[in-house]
Amino acid sequence: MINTIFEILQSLCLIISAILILIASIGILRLKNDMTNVIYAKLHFLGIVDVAGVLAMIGLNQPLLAAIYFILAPIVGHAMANAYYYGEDEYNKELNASENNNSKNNNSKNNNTTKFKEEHIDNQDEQYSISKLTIINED
Amino acid sequence: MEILLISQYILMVSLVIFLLVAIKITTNKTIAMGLIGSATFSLGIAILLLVYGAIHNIEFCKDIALALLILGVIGTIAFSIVLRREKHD
Repeated sequence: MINTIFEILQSLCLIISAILILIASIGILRLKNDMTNVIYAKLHFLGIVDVAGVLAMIGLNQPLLAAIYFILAPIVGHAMANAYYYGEDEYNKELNASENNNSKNNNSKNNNTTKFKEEHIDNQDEQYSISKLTIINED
Repeated sequence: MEILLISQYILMVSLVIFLLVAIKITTNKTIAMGLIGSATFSLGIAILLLVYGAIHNIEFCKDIALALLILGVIGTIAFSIVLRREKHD
């Protein structure tokens, strides 16, 4: 009886860890590489896999191994993030710069469209163009 | 019991999918992505070895998994130190 309960608990641990690993894998696959700070997001997902691995080791009757990896996993994650931050964050900076340029271009495009509207209103009826322009400037 | 065996096989399948994802991360263009992918690949292989050893009663799989875990961690930390130092010097 006790053995049966113990095995059910073991299999529960294994199934939960399998589900967590699957969710993390799908999440990593859905991430796009064009985003800024995507490597930190991936590290965040892989933290779930670390916890799932510890749970799987507990379910496989390896508590000492689970304890060792439970201590070592955050150290590894921090080392990897630290290496990327100080080592090769230029790619991320380039992405940030390109995103800023894109937002500036979008703003300039919006300004152009408003100017075009003003000119269009000007061309529609030239007699009242001055009064209409003042109204648009107030808005 | 059957339920334990079935759950072990489910975990093996999910680990294989995760290993494919780890390979995808490893083949990215930045070095840090390769570092992260290889570290997670070693973790996945270690758990896969543990599951396989538990199914087929192979004892040395546990030793290999322990070695993979500890050496993978040491290698990852060493490489991250080198990657950081390279940029500062």
